[in-house]
Amino acid sequence: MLYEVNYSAVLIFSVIVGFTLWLSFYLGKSAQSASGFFAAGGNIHWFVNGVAFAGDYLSAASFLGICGMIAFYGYDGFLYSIGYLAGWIVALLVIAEPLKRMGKYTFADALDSQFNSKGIRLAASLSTLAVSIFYLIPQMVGAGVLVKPLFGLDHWVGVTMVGAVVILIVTTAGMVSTTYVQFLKGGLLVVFSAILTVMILNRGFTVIDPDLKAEQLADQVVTKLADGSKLVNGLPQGKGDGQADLRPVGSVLELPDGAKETGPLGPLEFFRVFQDSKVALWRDKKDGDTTTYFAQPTSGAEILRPGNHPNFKGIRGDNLLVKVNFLSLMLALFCGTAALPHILIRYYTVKDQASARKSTIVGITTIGFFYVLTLYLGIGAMTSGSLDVTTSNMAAPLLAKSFNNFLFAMISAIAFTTVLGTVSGLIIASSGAVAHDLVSIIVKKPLEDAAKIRIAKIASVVVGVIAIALGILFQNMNVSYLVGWAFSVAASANLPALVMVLFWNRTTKQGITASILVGMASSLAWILLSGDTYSKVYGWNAADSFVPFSQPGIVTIPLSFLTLIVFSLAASPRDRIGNSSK
Amino acid sequence: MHHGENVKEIEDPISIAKNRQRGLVLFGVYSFIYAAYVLTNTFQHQWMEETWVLGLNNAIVSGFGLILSAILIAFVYGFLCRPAGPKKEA
Repeated sequence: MLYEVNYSAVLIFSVIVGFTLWLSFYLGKSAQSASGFFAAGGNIHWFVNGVAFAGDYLSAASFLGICGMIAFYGYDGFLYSIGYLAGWIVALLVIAEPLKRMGKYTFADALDSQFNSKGIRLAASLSTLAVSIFYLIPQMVGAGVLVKPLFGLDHWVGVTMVGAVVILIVTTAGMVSTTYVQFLKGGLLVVFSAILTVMILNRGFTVIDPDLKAEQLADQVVTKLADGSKLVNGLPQGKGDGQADLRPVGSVLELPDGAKETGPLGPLEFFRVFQDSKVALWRDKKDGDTTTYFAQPTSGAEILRPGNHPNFKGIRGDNLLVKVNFLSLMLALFCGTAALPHILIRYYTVKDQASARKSTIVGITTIGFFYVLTLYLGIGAMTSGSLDVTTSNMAAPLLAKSFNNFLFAMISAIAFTTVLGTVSGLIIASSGAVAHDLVSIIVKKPLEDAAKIRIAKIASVVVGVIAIALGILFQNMNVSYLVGWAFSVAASANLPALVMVLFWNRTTKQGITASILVGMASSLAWILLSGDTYSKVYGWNAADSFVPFSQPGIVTIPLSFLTLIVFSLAASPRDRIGNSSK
Repeated sequence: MHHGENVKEIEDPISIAKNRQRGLVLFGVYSFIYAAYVLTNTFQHQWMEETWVLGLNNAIVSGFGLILSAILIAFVYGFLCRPAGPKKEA
C-alpha cells in the first residue's frame, strides 16, 4: 500500500525527540561519575523506574508486532503477550532484590560479586553484547519500516536518524536521560493505547456494506517486476490515472442475530459479540513474483482460539515435535525476560531492594495492563477496514488512522519513540559491558570514573553505528523472529547462571563461566541450524535442517543448568561461592 | 530530579531470607498456573474453545486470568514484603 507523508506525525515526533534531547543535555551534569552514567546514581524513584521498565521492555516487537499478529491471526499474538508478561514474575520473585544487592553497574557485577573472576566477566559481557545486538537489529529494522510510509524517507535514512538520536541521548547523560526517555515513552504508549481501546469499544462492530462487499473482498494481485516496480491488479502501482494501489482491508461479515451494527460495547461484551460473528481475514498465495491476497471468511470463535498462525498451527495437530517447539518458545519467553541485560541494569538505578521490588510491581502492572489492551487493539485493527495486506507491522498506526489523523500521527510518533526508548537501554547495557567489564579484564589498574565514562561513550557510538549498519543490512528480515533469538539466547546463557549463583552455594566460577558460554553457543548454534532459519534466512529447504524443531530453549536452558552443575562439582571446593579469592 | 523522601529500607539478613521464601512460594504458584495454561494449549486445545464462565471462551478467560494473576501476585508479594513502620533509617 502507498502512504502519504504524515506531517503531523513528523511534527509530534520532532517535539518528542526535541524534548528528550533537551532533557538529555539538561541532565548531562548528573552523569559525570560512573555511577551517574551507568546507574543514574541510584537516585531514580521507584515509580519512575517502574514505568521506565515498561518503556524499556515494550519494544517495537511488543507494540507493532503483537498488535499486527493479533490483527492477522487472532489469539496467537496474545500468546506472546502472556509469555512476555510471565517472565516478569521471574524477575520480581526471584531476581530483582538479590540482583540489586549484589550488583553495581552491569549484569556481570551480580554474577561476579562473590568470585572476582575474569572468566565470568568475559563470558557475561560477551553474552550481554550478543543478546543486545540481536535485540537491537529488530528495533532498528522497525524504525526503518515505520519511517518509509510515514515520513516518506528511505529505510536507511530512518535507521540512521533513530541511531543518531539514540547515540546523542546516551552519550550526553547515560542512564539518566535513558530513564526519562523510557518513562516518557512507557507512559505515552500505555495512555494512548488505553484511549484507542476506549474508542474501539465505543465504535463497536459494523457489518460491511452489502453493496460494496464484492468489491472489497475481491482478490488483490501484486506482481514484482524485474526493475523493482510493482503491478497491482495488472496496473502500475500508484495513485494516479491508469495506476492502482492495494485496498485497505479488515471487515466484519456477519454479526449475531443478523444485526448490522452493535453500537458501543462493554469490555467483555466486545469478545462475546466477536466470538459469535464472522470476519474476513486476509491470506496470501505466492506464485513466483506474483502474490495473490485473498479474503478468508472466518468465525470469531476460530479467531479467538490458539492455532491460527503458521508458527502455532501445529498445536492443533498430532505432531509431537511441533508441540515441543511451542512449549520451547513459551519456556524461552518465561525465562528470557529476567535474563535480558538491558532490563537487569535498570535495578541499579534505584536506591535499595525495596525500590527494586516496588518498581518491578509498577512495571508488571503497567506492562500487564498494556498486554490486556493488545487483544482489543488487534481485534479492533482486524475489523477497522484500514489494514495493509502486505504488512502486519502497520496494524496499530492504521487502526488509529481509522479514527482520525491526529491519533494516527500520535500513535506513529509513539511507535518511533518506542524504538528510541528500547534502543537507548540496549546501547547503555552494551557500553557498560565494554567499559566496565571487558576493559577491566584487559587493564589491571582500576580506571578513573572519567576514563570509564569516556570509554563507555566511545562504546555507545561504536555499538550505535553497528546497530545502524545491521538495521540497514537486515531490512528484509522478520523483526519478531529476531526478538525470539534474543530471548532464547538470554534465557539459555544468562538465567541459569543468575539462578544458581543465588540458590546453590556449591556454584563455582568455572561453573558460571562454562554455563554462560555453553548456553550462548548452544542456543545460537541451534537457531542457526534450525528449519526456521534455513527457510527464512538462507532460503533453503527447512526439512534439511539439522535440528528437530526451531526453538532451542527446552534443550539449551537445561543444558546450561547441567553444565554449571557438572563444572561446579568438578572444580575445587575453594572456588565455590564465598571461598574465592577477592 | 527530586522525587521526595529518600529513605533507605533496612536490609537485614532475616528480612532478606523471609522475602526470598515468600518470593519462591509465589513463584511456585505462578509457575504452576503458567505451566497449566501452556500445557492445556498444547495438549488439550479443544478445551480452550469451550465456554464456561462470563459467556467467553476459556482461551480468553484463561489468558486474561493469567495476566491478572501476575498483577495480583505482584501486589501480594509487595504487601507481604512491606517494611514494618519503625524499621527505617534516614
